[in-house]
Amino acid sequence: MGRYVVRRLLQMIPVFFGSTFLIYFLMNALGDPLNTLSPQQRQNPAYMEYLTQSFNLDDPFIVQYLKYIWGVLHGDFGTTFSGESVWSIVVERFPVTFLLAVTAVAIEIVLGISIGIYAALKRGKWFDNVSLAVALVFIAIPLFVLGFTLQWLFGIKLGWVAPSGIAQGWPKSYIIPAFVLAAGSLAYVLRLTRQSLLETFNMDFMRTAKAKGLPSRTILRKYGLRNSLIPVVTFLGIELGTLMGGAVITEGIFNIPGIGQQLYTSIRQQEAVVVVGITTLLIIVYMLSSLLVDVLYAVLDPRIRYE
Amino acid sequence: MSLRKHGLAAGGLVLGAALALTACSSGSSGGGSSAGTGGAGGTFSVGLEKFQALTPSNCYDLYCAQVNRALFTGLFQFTTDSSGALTPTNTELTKSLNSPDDGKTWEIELNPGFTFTNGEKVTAQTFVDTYNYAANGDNGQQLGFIFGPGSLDVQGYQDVADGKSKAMSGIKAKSEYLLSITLNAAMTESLFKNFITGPQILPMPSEAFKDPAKYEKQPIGNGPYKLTGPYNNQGLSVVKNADYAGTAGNADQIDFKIYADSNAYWADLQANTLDVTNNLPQNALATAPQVLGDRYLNTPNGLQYSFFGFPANDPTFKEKDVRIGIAKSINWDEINQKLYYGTRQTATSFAPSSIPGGGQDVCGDKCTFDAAKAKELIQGAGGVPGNTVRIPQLSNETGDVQKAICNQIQTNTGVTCTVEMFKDFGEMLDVTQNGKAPNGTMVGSGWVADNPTIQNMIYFFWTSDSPGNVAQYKNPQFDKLLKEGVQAKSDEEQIAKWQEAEKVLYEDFPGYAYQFRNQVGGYSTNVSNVSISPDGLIDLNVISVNS
Repeated sequence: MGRYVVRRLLQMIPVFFGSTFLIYFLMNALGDPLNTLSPQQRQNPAYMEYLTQSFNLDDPFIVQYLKYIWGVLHGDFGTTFSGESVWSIVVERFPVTFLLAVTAVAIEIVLGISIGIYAALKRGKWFDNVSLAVALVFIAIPLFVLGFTLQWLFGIKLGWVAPSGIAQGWPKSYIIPAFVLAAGSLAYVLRLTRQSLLETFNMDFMRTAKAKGLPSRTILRKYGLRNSLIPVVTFLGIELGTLMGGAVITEGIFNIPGIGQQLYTSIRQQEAVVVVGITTLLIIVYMLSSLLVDVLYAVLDPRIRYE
Repeated sequence: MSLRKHGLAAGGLVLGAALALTACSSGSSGGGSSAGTGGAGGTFSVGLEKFQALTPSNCYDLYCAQVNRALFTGLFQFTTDSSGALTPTNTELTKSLNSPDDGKTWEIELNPGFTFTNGEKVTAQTFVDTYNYAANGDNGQQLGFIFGPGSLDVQGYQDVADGKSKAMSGIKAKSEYLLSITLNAAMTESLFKNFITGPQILPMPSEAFKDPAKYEKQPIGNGPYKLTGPYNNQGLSVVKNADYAGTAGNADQIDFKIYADSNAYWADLQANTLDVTNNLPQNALATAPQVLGDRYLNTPNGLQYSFFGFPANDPTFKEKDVRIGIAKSINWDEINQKLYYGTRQTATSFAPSSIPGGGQDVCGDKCTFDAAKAKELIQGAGGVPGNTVRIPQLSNETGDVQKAICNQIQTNTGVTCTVEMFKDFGEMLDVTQNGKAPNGTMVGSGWVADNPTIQNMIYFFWTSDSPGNVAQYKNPQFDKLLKEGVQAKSDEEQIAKWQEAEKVLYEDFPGYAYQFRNQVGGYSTNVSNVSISPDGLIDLNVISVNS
């Protein structure tokens, strides 16, 4: 197990270089970042010259990349065009997005799994059918439609929470955006839980447990859930990474100062160092969470062993 | 999703920043009134987009300018005169302005008593140090150019910009409160004030130059308000500066909230959780007047226009009648009503009436919509070669306006019209100047004035040697008139020269301004006396919080 984890961690090194290179290359392919300056800013030759010098824009692409990586390996993640350090941006914004994503996953767990279990137990009854229908609706509604609708309902019409920003703190400022972020996957978790549980119900060991005369609560908790939640846990583990990267739209609608918002702005302004920094971080989060899932596998199901 | 700033017109501003007059102007128009009359005290919030930098010498967008007008007091401010035109006037910091030698040297006498919130006195030396820091190319400050050629043209600027010298020979502190600025060429008082006021480099304490990164996060100013702490991505708060020597603001505290998406402003404004904004999303314009009532602000004659140009190197636009025909085939009044809900005005010149000498109908018949005449002109000139025109669209625009324009051109003239995508203004420049654009590609962009002069509105896109001359227009007579205006001895002569230059431009018709933007915004039921000046800024000092 220990060796397995070490091997997985070592695999991150080539991924780190590969992904930074690829993203740096893509940002470079967008053209000269000085082009994004407004007409007004272009009237100052001294400023244009300063930017060219400080961001190595005169160098060939590969030299720019190597200079960047050299900096990163020495703990210098670069700065934005306006001189803000990328590291300080990440430190300030990352926790916000992380909190949002964790809240979203929590909503998926609490609502998705519990409704899924209940639907499985009431298979074919009205609750099962209604939850299926509602789930389908949530999958079908585009994220921004749901976002603006809930913002209007809870923020403007009812006034329960501020429509945007995080000034009210957790949970008030996070709950609605996290729900919007979670909505699509929530339906998926619900369906997955229900399906998986139903499959488990048909297993031999479940019949044996029933035949032994165990109370149905115990059967569900000890045998049913433990065996059927593996695919759900897999999904949720990966989900954290996906949600962090996918928070761009939600952070935009609710004006949440997270990394998604920054990523969007920086791509527009072609600030390669910011985009590479944030994306690399997201990739690392994604890899760590999938590693965590694989380790959890072994815990949940002793039959799984890693060499 | 539209995570974008202002919905801009075709070829609208290339916005990394919507640039503004950096000044502490007064909202002399008085603004909208609403129920409840609050006096002094209280807290209100202002919505902003993320500024590039707060440090005055690096502040070149509307958002930092809005914050800095609370934190700083500069030398001059733009105020609206009785005719509705913006003119630079002395602030409470400035006692007098004189030129002993007819406009080559300018002496500014400061009122004593102003201090930075760290206790440092604001003296003539403050301005000398600030200006030298800004001009120094090694410091990478965006506003350094105001001392350069094309603007103030201060003696010794070039050496400082190139990093060869630390101090401009033309800027000196003659005594503790007497600042002297020597230019390479004489100019009128109003032009000097315009150049130094928009964009304005506000005074910075010596601490700023020792640790610029730290200063940027929490600038120390000399204005009516001071920061409560370093700013972050959510925004910043300012409280009354008890030691301020000038007229204090009404409110005790102002919270600036930073937004990445203008839709979020709108949501917060409707929920009364945001008090003041000068930015409404495009999709709110239709309903905002009903939702906000008299709290909706729609001030005409903003110092911003959008224009079209016909590249000189494209044979499609060789015939002047073709160019005029295309212009005449677009019904801007209709587009401004239907797509912008009356928040834009059809332009008849490059300068709106908020600029001295502006507001004239220079374009005349050429800009008047007339479908039949448009068709006739184009046919009379032998038609549009290739029978296709392409309207520029930047990647941050939705394309609705371009579609409307194309429909009109196509319906009214029979010429095929398509949209040509550009990533940004820089790419448009590159592509069209090198003749890489397909034939029939028009160019366009927007401009936010640095200062209220006709010269500032037109020089960047149309003078022969300007890096922004996207339509490659070259007319020595136009260049000469513009330059003569700068060198003029009186305001009347100056305005006359510039108006003449504008006439030459419209006579040649290499392009035209089609639209002025209004300043649009709104405020909550918590505040009153809110107005937006034509320069796009809100006078925060006069806003009162309803009790």
